[in-house]
Amino acid sequence: MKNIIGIVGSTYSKSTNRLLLQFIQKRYSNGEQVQIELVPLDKLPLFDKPADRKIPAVAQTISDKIEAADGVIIAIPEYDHSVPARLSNALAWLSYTTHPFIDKPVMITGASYGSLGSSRAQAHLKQILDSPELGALTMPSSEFLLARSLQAFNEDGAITDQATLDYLDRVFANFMIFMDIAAQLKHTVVKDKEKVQSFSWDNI
Amino acid sequence: MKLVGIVGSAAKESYNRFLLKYIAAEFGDLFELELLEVKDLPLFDQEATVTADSLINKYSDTIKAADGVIIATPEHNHTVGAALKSALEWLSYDVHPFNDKPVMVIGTSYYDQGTSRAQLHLRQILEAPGVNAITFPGHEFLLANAKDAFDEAHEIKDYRTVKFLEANLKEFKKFVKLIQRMDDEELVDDVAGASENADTAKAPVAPVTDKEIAADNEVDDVASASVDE
Repeated sequence: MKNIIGIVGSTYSKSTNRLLLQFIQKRYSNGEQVQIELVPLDKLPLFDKPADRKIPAVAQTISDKIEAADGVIIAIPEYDHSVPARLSNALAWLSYTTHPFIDKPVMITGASYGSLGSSRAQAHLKQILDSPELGALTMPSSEFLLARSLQAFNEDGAITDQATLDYLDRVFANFMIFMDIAAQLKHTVVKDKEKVQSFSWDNI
Repeated sequence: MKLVGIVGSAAKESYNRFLLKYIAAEFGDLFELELLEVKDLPLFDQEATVTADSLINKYSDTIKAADGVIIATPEHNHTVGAALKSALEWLSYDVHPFNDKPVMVIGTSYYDQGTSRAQLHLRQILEAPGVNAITFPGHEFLLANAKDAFDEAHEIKDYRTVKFLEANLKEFKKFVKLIQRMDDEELVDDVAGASENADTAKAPVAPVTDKEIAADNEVDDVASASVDE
């Protein structure tokens, strides 16, 4: 059983990225091999690097869920050629006192109204997840860019294009294998976490 | 010349705030610098009602009225701080104060990199159609080891760093004037009727020589703003 956390990188109520992740949840979460839970980011306050190093309870809850998960799937829109502030805000909280993304397998997806499918935002997100205090294992050589997202779903919230569905199936199947491979890479996870936990920007 | 400095960190204690405050105090003879704080804005929400007297609109008006903008960004997880990104989202959604505005990117960080990765992201963000700023090319100012870089009065200690910063700021001032000149040229074209055709509305402007820029630098801002060949 793979326990996966889904994160929608936008808090917009009509976000097609939420539609995408809800569709992924419906299509692959069967309660037997795969369980996918979506966590919202809208309750997280602005990251202001509190000197007392206390993070909000809601950030701790999300952190605990990611910590316990086998993998994370992120769906992001593109705002100004980059990731939405809401997501980078969440990632700032999730790399401050806790570090749940260290060595965590992550699959990146995204949807956009136009023809680019959040390509630039996804490229930035890969770089961001590669930073030392996030340290995620982002699935390489894999991009799922859902273009023209307003036309991509039917009334039931399902992707209608068969070629797109086939491709998403392949990417998800790869992610299932990637989570197993990543688990083998986790022999250093305890040390990696210790190292990053003991590091402080204030002590350098 | 009137510039706006945007403090890109939401932290109470920010070296990027020190940096902009230092620039405002130290280089007051070059330009006037008004600081805006992204920490005072809420997180971007496209469904929120933005009232006319909101801080977002105030910031937008301040930036619009300025000749140029200097953004000091922190680096969080290899990208710009979320508070700065959020502010840029607000300022590229209903309002677009950065449109054709000259912008200089600077930053300081705790360690060796001096916000190198965040600055590259920021340059790409400023290129996005909704922002559409004219980012000052080259002239990277990456202040590393921030904790040691400032003295107790929050002034930059190293003389060569100060001189390098000053040189960059002077170049940026020239760049702002160059962009203003370009706008003036476009206006002349419009008046001449060239705007009837969208392709010619943005006809290439006559090149401005180094000598002309240098000449502009000699005169005061008010006079140079009205210079029109």
